[in-house]
Amino acid sequence: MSNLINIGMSQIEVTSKLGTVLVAPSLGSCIGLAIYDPTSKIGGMAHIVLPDSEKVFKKNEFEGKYADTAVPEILKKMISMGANKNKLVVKIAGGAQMFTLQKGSNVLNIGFRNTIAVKAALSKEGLTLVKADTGGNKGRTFKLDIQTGSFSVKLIGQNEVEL
Amino acid sequence: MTTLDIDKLLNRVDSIPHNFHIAIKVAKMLDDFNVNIQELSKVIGVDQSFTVQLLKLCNSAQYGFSRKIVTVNDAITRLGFKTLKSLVFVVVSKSSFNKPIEGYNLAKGELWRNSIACAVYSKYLAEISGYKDPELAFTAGLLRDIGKLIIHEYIKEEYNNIVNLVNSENIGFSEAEENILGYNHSQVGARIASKWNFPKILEETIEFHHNPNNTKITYLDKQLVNIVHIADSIAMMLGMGLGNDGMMHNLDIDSLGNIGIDVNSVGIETLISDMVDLNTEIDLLMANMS
Repeated sequence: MSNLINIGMSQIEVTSKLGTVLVAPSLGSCIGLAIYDPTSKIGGMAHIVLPDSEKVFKKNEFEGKYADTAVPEILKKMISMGANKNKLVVKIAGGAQMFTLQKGSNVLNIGFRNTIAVKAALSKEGLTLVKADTGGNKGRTFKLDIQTGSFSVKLIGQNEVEL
Repeated sequence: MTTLDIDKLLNRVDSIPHNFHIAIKVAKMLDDFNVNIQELSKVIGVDQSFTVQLLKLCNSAQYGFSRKIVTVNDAITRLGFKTLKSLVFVVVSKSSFNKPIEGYNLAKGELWRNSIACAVYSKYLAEISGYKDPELAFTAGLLRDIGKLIIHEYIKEEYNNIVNLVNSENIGFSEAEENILGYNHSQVGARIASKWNFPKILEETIEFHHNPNNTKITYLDKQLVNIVHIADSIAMMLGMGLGNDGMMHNLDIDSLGNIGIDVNSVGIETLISDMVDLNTEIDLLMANMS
């Protein structure tokens, strides 16, 4: 029986414990970022809420809340646990968009801005994004199985599929 | 196509959950400035399990009393009328909201979590926008989706048609519900609220929480409708019990400006960042109700 660990908003979890499945449940405009090193079987997941920590000046916040702080933090944690940066498989899911009739205004397009910001932060760290399931207007649940290294996404109301 | 016969539907939900009677009676008594506290505590105290749950919630950590509240009388004097009124609604709605709502693909607990989140967010938006009664905003946010409890079976049947209409006509989910079924969950909710004698202002927030700035409507309290609309949308964006419709509802950007939020990326992201910090309060409320 696998041990499911729910990653709530702003959280980052890194583990090498076999049998663990990291889960970012019910992602709306948030992004689930999952990274796995198949050699050491170290995996991590972040549940990112917003694109940019610079815009929102607050102290003592979780790094996992913003794309620009979550990416270096999860990478740091994985490397300190022994993951090899050159082997990392990086995938993301989420970033859905709330429907609005007022198309002129993109200010509420948080899902899209999150997606762009995570991609930018990954490339800044020299990480390659292998696969992404983002956008649309449905919620998703994203999983990473530490034992097998398999990533999966479930759109609300649909079957779970491999990512 | 299934056209919803609203009267038939309302007849089926004739039986108002018992506890709602207490909440509505208490809410009405608390609105009366000359309320007699003894009488009020008699009305609340008549249902023992209700009283136990209410006191448990009153004693929960977020109200931080060092001395335990042990009687209804105590709760009234120490929490104040407005807070007590919103807590009474939390207690009574749990049994209705904390169950699977299949048509909207909500597992047990998800609509409950979503409703508590919307309540907490509404209260917060009320506070930062200077709305006169943040506790009323809490209750309005809590109850806004009551119609979903009733029409979800119909949604289940027509879900694909509704979604197709959302995509082909570029309209919100609520409008598509109305086009396919004849009624949307907000209108059904308002009819139930009226039948159960909810205060008029709650009937209005239930009816227009997806339609907050319609020039053809004369709102009783437009600010409150705008507050609940934004709280609802952000709860959905943050995936707090999202369901299969959540992000397909139209978000009216004017509502943000109407409650004094800067409609630019800094304004919105600051708001969401602050609202995410309320999630511990939501978790605590839910834990205290389990």
